[in-house]
Amino acid sequence: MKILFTFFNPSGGMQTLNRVRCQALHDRGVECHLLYTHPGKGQQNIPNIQTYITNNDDEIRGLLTREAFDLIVVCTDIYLAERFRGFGYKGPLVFEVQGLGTLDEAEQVISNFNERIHKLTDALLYPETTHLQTLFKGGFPSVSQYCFDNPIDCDQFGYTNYPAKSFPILGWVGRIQTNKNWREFLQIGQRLLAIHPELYLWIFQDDTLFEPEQKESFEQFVAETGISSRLISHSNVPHGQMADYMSIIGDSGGLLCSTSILEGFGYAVAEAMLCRCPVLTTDSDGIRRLVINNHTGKIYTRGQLDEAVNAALSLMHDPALRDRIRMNGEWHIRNNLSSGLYADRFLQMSHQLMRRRSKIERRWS
Amino acid sequence: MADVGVVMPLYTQKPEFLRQALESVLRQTFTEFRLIIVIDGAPDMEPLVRSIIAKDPRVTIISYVQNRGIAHALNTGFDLLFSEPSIQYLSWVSSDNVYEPRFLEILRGALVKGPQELGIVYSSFQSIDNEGNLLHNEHQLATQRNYQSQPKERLLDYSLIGVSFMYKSQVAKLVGGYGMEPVEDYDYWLRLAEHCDIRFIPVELVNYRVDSTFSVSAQLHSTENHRRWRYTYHLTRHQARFRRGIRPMITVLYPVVNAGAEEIARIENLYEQTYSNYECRVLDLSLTGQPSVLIGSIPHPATEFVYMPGVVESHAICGALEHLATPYTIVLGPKIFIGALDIEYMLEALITTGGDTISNYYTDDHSLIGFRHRHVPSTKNHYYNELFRSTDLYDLLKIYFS
Repeated sequence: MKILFTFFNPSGGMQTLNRVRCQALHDRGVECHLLYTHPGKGQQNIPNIQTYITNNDDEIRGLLTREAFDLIVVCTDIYLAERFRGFGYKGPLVFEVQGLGTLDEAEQVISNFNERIHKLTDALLYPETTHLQTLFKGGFPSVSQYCFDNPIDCDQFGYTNYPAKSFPILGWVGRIQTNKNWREFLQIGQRLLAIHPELYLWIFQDDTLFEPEQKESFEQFVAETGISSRLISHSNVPHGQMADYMSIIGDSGGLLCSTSILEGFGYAVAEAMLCRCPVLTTDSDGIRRLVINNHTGKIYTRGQLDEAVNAALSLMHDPALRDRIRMNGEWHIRNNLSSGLYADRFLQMSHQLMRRRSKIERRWS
Repeated sequence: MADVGVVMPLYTQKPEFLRQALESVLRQTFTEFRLIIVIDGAPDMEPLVRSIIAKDPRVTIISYVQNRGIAHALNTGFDLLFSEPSIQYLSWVSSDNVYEPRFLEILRGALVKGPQELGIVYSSFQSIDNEGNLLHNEHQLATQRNYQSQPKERLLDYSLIGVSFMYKSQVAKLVGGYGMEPVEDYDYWLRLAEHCDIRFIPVELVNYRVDSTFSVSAQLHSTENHRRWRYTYHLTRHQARFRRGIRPMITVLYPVVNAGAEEIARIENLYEQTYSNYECRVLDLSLTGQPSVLIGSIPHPATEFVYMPGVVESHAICGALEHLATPYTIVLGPKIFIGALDIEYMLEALITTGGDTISNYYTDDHSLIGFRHRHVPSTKNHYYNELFRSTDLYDLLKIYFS
């Protein structure tokens, strides 16, 4: 079986997802290819996977003809699905959504895509996220839908013990964009710095992906609050090294803070947990598959700084709670989100869709 | 049985530095290693070495009278380790650095845990002065980690590996010994990395003593030594690209009628650029060949001299362009590049900016990169220090001079 996964650019969670699932499917004998329509810094994270970066019609048409994919999964870009069909691709096509920003934004996007989804796609695929489930179940009752957890690479990605830092670290992973709610992270950091002046804030971001006005606001906020001496920005860290950084944060006595307004899945949170880095996160429903409050991590109400700071302090000050959460977090990811489980579910979906396609073809031939 | 082998080459060293270095190696948390101390022409150091190592059975001392240089000392030590079948992982240490207690444990652990293709692991390091003061704060360390964590392909541009490393002996046996002083380590990493993957660990495992009293790096500050170092630094990359079949990307044309201090400064400014995958052609337009002699005294492995006595500069450039094989061209001078990264940034910008751009350049105040577009008149009234797509420069000059 040969599958093509597509997205706009190789960066962030989508790049992680594609790499992990391609490896998992490869282990089951499936040949996976990736197509990105735009370049991105995550290119450095694509070893051993056939990857194309092009938005050129002729090149894409040639790719489809040459490779004769058995299944194509188009993430977010419905217009690319339209181009595939226009280029003559007749096989099963899955439209995947991993997150579409805030609920309002997601509703707007889906409403715009409605007609094309019905016309072009064989099925919808999304992670087990309440807002996406509600959106799709209500909006597309006649379209097949597959909903299962994204995979985490528990074999290659994990905790390593390094010499502990002499200061606690508050980590954050994301882009400087509205949905990631970076301002709240800095506010929490500022409050924690008042109590723990030895604290460092470590931000991990792709510095080529940001909303310009948000970046300006970010820099202004940092300048006005005077936290720049305690803020360290890591740009485009290769994925493999994130396991080291998360392990280091976990061993520093600090934590990862996720402030997103809405997360479709929350790869950064899942990977932090796998590396024994305790997590404090907003109550976004993409997170609920990962974080069980006070058991595998801490959840706070977005906008409630007091609640967030108190939760962070409990993780920093209560060693028993911290140890328990670190252990439970890692166990939870290993047992519920393994890439093997994902491969089972994905292949079941693939076989169903391919069988259905061939039935339709037989009927019309 | 020990599976880690470590070599310490030793020439004249401050006793206190040597003591700290040796003790930090002997007190590693990972204890199953062999240490070969190669005393390279400094027999007076041996009694001190023996007093520090006491009767530690893990240590072997090799001493010879004549100083043969660090590459020879390393090869001597590693030859001995290669003869021990149990040794799978290799590292070498300096006699003035201080090694964190888990230096060997962590580097070895990463090699053991990593995939088969992984051959080199290396970590971040702190810098210290002669008094042992830490020289980098967390922000500087983060910048250094970011620099060191670049993908393997960037090893051709930068010596990323640093001073804290370990590699597999099975890979080392494929590439021969150390050479190419004073960039013996960088040259070695380039050769090793052609057979294996590399992995960076963002943790400081070594305190690296910067410019310590007797270090090689402290001796590189004279102009002559720096030129020698720079030549070999370029040469090793040049050779690595040749081995890998990587063609030069840029031709730098440098038309000169008469060479003096300014012309020397200009060519050295080019050689100091971080970007190195270019070939330079000095177009000697003099009647005497004086520029070739003077500029030729500053060695560079990819610079050649084309004697064009009395030819007008524009004609010389057009003539040279007809024989170019590189996709990009720069005509050098009369100003210098302000930043060492200028060519690197310009090339990256020109490659990623498609469409009808034919060249780019730094604005006079060095705040922006400007672009020249095909069929659009440019406000720039010269072509110097501007990165052109070679064919476009040729077309532009044909129109310009017709």
